[in-house]
Parts: sequence; structure tokens; C-alpha cells
Amino acid sequence: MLDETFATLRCCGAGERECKLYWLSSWRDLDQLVEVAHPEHDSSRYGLTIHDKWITKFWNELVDREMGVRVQVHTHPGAAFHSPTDDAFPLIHDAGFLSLVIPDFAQGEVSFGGAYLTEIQRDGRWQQVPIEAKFSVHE
Amino acid sequence: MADRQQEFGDDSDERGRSDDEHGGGRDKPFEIEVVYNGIAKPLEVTKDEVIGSVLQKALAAFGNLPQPHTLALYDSDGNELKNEQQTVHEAKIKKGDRLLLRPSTVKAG
Repeated sequence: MLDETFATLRCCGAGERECKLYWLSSWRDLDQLVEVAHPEHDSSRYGLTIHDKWITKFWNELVDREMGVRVQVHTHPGAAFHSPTDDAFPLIHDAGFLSLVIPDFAQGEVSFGGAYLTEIQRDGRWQQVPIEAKFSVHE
Repeated sequence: MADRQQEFGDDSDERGRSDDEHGGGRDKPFEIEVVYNGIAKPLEVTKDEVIGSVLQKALAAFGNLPQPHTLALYDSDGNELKNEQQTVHEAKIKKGDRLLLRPSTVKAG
């Protein structure tokens, strides 16, 4: 998952543009992240917008496959943090939904080093959480 | 049926759809499904119910999600049901139809 994530972010963003993807799990096994979904999007150095038609197609596929989005992952050109745009326009609005931001357009080593993780709280606000408390990587 | 259509000013036959496709008479509830993040939930609606009411019921079905103002209803083809005063009948929603509860805009920056 992590290798595929970095490969996708690097290939799509080419070190020049932001990129975003989603980590999915089955509704039968919520804790096991098993798939990376790379949305169709427009992007620039400082932001991106997911294509509306892709969201519709994705929404229908998720329910047909009994899968759900658990985490959004996107890159920043420099330091990782959550911008006001990131706060306001996620795909999922559930409490517990996670957003991982990877610094330097994911050009660094394949790891969580320098990354920023935040979680939607019950009141809808985002709050930073320790990455190691939420993810463990299995070979 | 003809009397009933006249009574309620029903034009469903003119649109090529019978009342049965709405689950019976105009006041009788019928079931649709609303999906959000891979979960489908059944929802009972009536032909005269407005989309704003359907949206509120959909949000409640998914546990009153935070930031509900960012979410809207779409048909399964991706057409947003923007007019909250429009009725289920006017929106051409039929028994068994799937509606998508999803954000209108998804961005990062």
C-alpha cells in the first residue's frame, strides 16, 4: 500500500503538482486497508479538485463492492499540514475519517517521515493525531 | 386510478410512468436507497415529499454527519437534486431508485 501510494503520488504529481488518493477497506474488515484509489483530478502546485463525474462513479462502485473510504492521502509542495481548503472539502465527513499529508510531493523516502495526520472529531473539527497510533505497516 | 390521478392532478401517465412505479398511490410511502461511502440505507419517501425533507432523512439515516451543509443528494447518474422545494414526483424518483449522498465539491490545497 505504502509503495503503491508513493509511486502513484510521484508519477501523477511529477514533483510539480499536488496529487490525492484514497485508502479503502472492506466494510467487513474495517481495520485492514487493502486498496488504493486514485481519483481523476485537476491539480497544480498549490491545490487540486476531484472531478465530479469520478465521485459519482466511485460512489456507485463503493456500494456495489461493499468497500469504504477510510483515509485520504495527498501531497504538499513543502511541509505537510492541513490547510483550510483541506479542512473544508474532504470526500468523507465522518468522525474518525483520517487525512494524511505527505511533504515534498512525496519525493522523499517511502515512509511516514515528515507526514501529517489529522482526524475528524465528533463535532466535525479536524485534530492532529500521532501517525503511529493509527497505522502499522505489514509486509 | 383515473379518478385518483384527476383528484391529485397526477401527470405520471403523461410522463410514461404509472403510480405503481412510485410504490402505489401518491400518499403511500415507497422505498428508495441512499448510499454514502459504500453503505446503502433504505429510505421511505412519498411522491409529495420535497427533496429537502429527503435530504434531512438521508443525513439522519447516516447518523447526522458533521458538516451536513457540504453534502447533497444526487441521482445515480450524478445529477444533483439542487431544488430542495421540488417534490419526489417532480424529481422523477421511483421506487427502488438509488440516491447518492455525497459532497458537491472535493478539493485540497
